Amino acid sequence: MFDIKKLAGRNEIRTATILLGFIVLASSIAFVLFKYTENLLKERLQERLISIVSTAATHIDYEDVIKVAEQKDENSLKVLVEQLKEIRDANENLRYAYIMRQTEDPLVLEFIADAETLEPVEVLDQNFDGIIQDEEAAPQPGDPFEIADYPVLRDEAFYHPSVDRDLEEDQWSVQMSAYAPIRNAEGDSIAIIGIDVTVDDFLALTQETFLPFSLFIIFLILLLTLQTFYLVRMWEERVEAMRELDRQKDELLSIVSHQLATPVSSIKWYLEMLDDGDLGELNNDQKEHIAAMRGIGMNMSDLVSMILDVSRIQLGRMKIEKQDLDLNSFFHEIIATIDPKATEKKVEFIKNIPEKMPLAKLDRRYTNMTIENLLSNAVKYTPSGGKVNCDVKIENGNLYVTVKDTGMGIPRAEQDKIFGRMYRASNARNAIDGNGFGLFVAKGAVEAQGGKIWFESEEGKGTTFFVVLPLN
Amino acid sequence: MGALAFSILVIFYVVSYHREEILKEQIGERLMAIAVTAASQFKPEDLEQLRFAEDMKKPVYQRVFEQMNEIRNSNKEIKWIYILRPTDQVNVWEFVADADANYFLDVSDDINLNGVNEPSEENVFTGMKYYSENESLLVGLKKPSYTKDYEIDQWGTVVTGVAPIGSGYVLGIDMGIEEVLN
Repeated sequence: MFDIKKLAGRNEIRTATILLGFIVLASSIAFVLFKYTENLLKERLQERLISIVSTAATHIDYEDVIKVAEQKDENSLKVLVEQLKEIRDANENLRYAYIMRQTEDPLVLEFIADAETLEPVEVLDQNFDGIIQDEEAAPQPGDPFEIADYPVLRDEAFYHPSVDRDLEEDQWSVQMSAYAPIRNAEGDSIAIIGIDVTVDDFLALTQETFLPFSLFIIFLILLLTLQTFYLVRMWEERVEAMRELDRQKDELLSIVSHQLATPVSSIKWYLEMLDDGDLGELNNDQKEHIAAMRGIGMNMSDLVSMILDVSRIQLGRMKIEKQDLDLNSFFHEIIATIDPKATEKKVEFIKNIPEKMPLAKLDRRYTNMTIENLLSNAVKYTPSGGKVNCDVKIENGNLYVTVKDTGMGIPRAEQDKIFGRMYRASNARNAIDGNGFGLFVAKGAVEAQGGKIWFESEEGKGTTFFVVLPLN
Repeated sequence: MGALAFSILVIFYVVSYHREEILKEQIGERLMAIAVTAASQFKPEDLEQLRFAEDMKKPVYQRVFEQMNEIRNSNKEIKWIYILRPTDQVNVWEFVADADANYFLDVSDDINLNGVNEPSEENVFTGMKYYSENESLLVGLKKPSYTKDYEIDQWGTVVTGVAPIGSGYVLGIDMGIEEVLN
């Protein structure tokens, strides 16, 4: 049988795990979607910059570039600067537009023109101190530019339109640069046009994109939490209903077994009276029938008291009546009961019981039921020719009883259920008669007296039960 | 569980729709950036000389035509590039130049070789009237803009970026729906 409390706890843990799993899954999906969108947006931004710079490159006449680079032609420089300014001014976020060419040093480029090259001092002097600082100066034709930190500029930009791989962030803004080659009539790249664009709006857009993803996660978590609470509540109601049903069933069992106990006892007494000849002498046939009926009556009586014990344990009404118990005579009586059964089944019954044992404070009925149950089970589940050992010892104020058999053993997967009510191992269920109450009651009886019971078993080889009971 | 799955689907749809809208907007902004950068290469005084189909033979048209093709060649995703001027009639525009129109090109050609000259295969020419309710074109006379949704005409379904050239011309740049969805 199952333990409802344990089951309920297990299901709450399972529900919480599922909820956690859902949250992790939803968060992962949202995060992946967000990162995917962010990457797409970045790609689109890069495409936009490439489009601008590619289109701008078509505006530049390569002959003007050559004239400025090689002859320092002022008219061509004016044309280039004007075109660069047009490009810069046409695009809202474009900060710088410039043309550069390669030098003999692969890590240094040379400016040909910049949109600000011809700007007057008053425009360049951004802090209005009357002096053009280095950082305020506009690049002039021939000015070097080191590109060690710009991998795109080192090579790629002179072959095809290119863009920075990542955003560059400084204290003022987030920027990205793009470049496109300027080609001569033969199609050779003679210079590049570059643009630096502030992309603060990109960050805002990314954050804007993140909002629905965040809402998605929050909504999903809320939804899942609500549903989990609903499921847990529903489950608790069911568990409560099952618990009540279980209690009512135990109550019924208790009532039925109580009601059965009296008539069964009466039948036993009347049969005893008949057998004793109180109602007249019986012939041999009649005596045989009466003996058979007494055996059946005994079994019935045992079953009823077992059911009664089961319901007492279930309802927590087990009453332990500890009294002085002479262990010597106690074990003597048990052995006397088991011996004939072992002989009949041709099982070797080996006893190792101290000759003299002290008095113990134990419940006689429950202790007897436990030990006798373990021994009769051992005999019952051991095939002919097998062995059953019963070792008893007194140590540290405890009674130790070990019952070992060479029977069919308990399958490993079922070992944690074997003390359950009405549970019987699968290898014994159809092979040997039984009701599955014995070990349940034995465990209840031992634990109610402050003792312990456990076992070791290997399927096909046998089982050993260990019982420890405090003497006082 | 059904309600949960349904809710997730709805949210997923909304988020995907939102994402697609943002991406479409990004493409529109890209087309607008191309248009605005390209627009500075054309002079209104040049375009003033282009009024009728016969003007397509003028050197100024050839220069504009070449420049448009150069811009399109630099931006492979562009489908159409053209310059329009408004007319006296509402929503009626006039083609000034087009990267696919020239005096030596057929006005109508059976491009898909099905034996029929379909409207989508019809070519344009300088002075040809064009009816469009696309509001972005009107906005484009004053400032750079782009269509917020797909525009449909006889030449297909497109997203358009526009920018003014001077005060009387609009440079239009179209990207086809196939390219947008890619």
